[in-house]
Amino acid sequence: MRAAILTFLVSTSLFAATIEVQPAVPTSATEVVLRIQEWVSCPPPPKVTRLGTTISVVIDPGPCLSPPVLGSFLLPLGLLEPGDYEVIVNPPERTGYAMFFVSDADSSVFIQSPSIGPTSGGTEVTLFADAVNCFGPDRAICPLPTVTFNGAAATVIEAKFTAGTLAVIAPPNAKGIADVVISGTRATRHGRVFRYYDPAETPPLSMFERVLVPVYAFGPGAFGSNWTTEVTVLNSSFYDIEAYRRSGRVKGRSTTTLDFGASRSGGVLYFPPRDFSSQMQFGSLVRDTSRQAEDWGTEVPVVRESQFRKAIFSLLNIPVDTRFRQTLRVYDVDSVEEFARVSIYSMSTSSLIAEKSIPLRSANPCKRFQPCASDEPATAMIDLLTTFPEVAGAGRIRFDIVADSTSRLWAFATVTNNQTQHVTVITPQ
Amino acid sequence: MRAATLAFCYLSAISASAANIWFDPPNPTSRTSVVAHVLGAYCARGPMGSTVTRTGNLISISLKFDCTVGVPILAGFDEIVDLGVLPAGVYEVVAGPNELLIAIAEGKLTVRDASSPLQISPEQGNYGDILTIRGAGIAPVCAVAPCPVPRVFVGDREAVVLRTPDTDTIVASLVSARRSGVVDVTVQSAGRTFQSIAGFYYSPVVLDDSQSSFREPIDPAFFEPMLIPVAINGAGAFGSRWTTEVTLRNENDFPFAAYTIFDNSCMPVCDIRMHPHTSRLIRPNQPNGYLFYVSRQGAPNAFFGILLRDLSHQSEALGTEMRVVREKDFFDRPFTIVNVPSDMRFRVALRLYRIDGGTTLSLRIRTLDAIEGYGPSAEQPPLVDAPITLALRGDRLASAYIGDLLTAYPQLAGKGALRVEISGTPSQRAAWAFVSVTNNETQHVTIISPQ
Repeated sequence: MRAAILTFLVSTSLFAATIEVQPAVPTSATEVVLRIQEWVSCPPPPKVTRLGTTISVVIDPGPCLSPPVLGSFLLPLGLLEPGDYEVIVNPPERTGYAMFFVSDADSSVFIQSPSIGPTSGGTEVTLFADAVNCFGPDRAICPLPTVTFNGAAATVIEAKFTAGTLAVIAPPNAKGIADVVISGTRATRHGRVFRYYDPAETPPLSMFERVLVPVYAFGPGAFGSNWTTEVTVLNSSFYDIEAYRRSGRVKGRSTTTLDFGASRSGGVLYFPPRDFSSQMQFGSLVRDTSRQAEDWGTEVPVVRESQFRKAIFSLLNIPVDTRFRQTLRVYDVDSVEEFARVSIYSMSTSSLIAEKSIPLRSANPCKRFQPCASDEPATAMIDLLTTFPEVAGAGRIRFDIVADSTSRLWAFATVTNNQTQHVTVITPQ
Repeated sequence: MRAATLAFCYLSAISASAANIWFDPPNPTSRTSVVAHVLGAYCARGPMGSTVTRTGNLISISLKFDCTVGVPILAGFDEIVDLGVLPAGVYEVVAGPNELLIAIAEGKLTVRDASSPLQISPEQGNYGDILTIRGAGIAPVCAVAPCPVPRVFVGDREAVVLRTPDTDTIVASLVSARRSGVVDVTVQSAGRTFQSIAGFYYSPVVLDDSQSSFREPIDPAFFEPMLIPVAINGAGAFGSRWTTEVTLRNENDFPFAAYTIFDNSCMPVCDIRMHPHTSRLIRPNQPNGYLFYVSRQGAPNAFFGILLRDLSHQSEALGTEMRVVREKDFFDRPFTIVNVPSDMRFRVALRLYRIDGGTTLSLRIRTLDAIEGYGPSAEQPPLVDAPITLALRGDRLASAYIGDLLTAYPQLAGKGALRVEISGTPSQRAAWAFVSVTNNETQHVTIISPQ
């Protein structure tokens, strides 16, 4: 019976756990507490076990069969060593998954550039090295500082050595956090501040953000149109940034056009490092080159992870007009195949006109609550009047969209003029 | 001489910056530390640190100036003062120079209670509004009847309890009007008292047309600023006829105030509330932008739509979506708009905004593929490097409009794709900009915004 209930809880996405780490940015000097919310029926206290950097939380269903209520559990973890930690709720089936990073509160080494890199090494790392070393051109008198990552020597870039900063090439190393030691003529500094990830594995959630490029289309379209997409990224920091599994780095203070290969009708996910994600600015323009003399194109926003919602959201004031094609696109940032509930209301009367659950599909789907490397979001693209014929003649409408589960969704609508192919994008705001 | 210099310094500072203070974050709680930014003008040396003293709900910041220099030179300053973690409450913060009992900046700081036993929704309103108050055991069931009805005080006014649906919920009505401001909420129930300090904001009761210029300072602890960048209703270039449809939907279960273009109606008085699960469509004419405020509690479930339409070409295109800029979308650092064309077939307009009362921004334009190096030798000079003066449109909103970048800066012609960099804001999230690319023939507009 207990197993049956557990299976029910796991398979019913309503019962997914919400995991919150307190404080939000923990250090090795702060007590860490997990706050987990899950629908439960009079459960015994959760069991927490830790194996290395993996923390497992088991919330048993409890002996009673009363209707589940939303329970909130505060689970103190105490002080944690610096590193990236995984939280798995109810393994092996899993009803929740999260990752968080604990920084080294005792570090005397500060990294100015992105503090993550692949296990193969080769990442250029800029360290703050004030007063560590003498500074002069004669290396016999003033030798360069030495730097090690977990004992492996890093290559110091002599040309970039200044009084305050020190640029090095990270050596290959094992996955996990590395103790960086700077030995200078005046001082030695160290700290567990650089994190290695294995590019053969999935991108750690605590290191990489998921950013959605909703449209990446090339080639012929309806009514003689010919589409192209330009996705530009500017790295406004002074340091080169390497996204997960993207060949080549985005150089500091420069722009790059992102090339995701062939057309991706369902959009594509991009994984910039979290600690420098805010320094990356995007531009995304979809153009019909068959009519490029008539308009410049349409901006389709690049969507950050924080813009996806678990709660309901609305797209307002969409016309239902036979001169236009109305298309709705819905995305799950975690690439989990599931259903989105789409409700359509009249703008003038607020009455419900139609409602359906729309399946989201991915060419490379992820399992729920599992780390995943897929860059294909789970998505649905529906033609309004084909999927919802009852909407015809409704004037202006509103879409309300929410996941049938607790997944994170985003959506937008396009209104395309059949004659001119001019596209108007309507996004949630 | 020193006395004269001092007097010059302080008087200059006062005239330059009365009441010029802001807090980061704008909505602190009793678990978050607060930093005050004191803005002003100073002599050649100073401020050189500060001291903070708190007496009850009065916080005094004493700025250390040194005006011993022979010839005073005024320059702007943004002195950052750490106020630390404060208990919940409403504070008067006064900043002044160390040697004189005068204020050069003052402001009101509301610190919300992070561990309040009460959840109140909505957390702003006034006479006639119904509040739902939740808290563990605030409406207990008594073992012996009759059970006294809980009492609810919102500030100094008692609310009428309408019902207690369960032991954790009270529904009460505000039955008397009160002057606007932040107050505590107290529930007295079965011999226990539950209090939410600084838990409720009394909104202004009514606004009518004669009061439409009402500009009581909006408490940033309760309200989030939002910008409608442009809303045009009228004739445009090349025979175009513009209209802007602004839509707002309140998906919350409670009403909230949205100051003030969304007023329901003003007959006989304005209702500034946006009612739950309702939508509203308006067509304002605000070509220079419009700054408004939405309740923080309601903002996550308030949705907007702005559609700019050229009615003279409505058979060709529906129009162009314009973003509503939320507080989190404003920049407190330099930002860039990428892939902006320099094509003579299009008018490339740039609109810039600040919402902190500042009136300058710096504009740099480079080619899209320009690489800036690490030192002066590697730096490629920008094609445009110009200060932009913004016109104040109210107390806080300032905006500027450059109708065509290629006309304003002819050196951009034929340079291909560009990137437009804007900087010059203080550490406050206050700046935003966007580019519109309009085809001269078809009037089709493409918006390019910072992302």
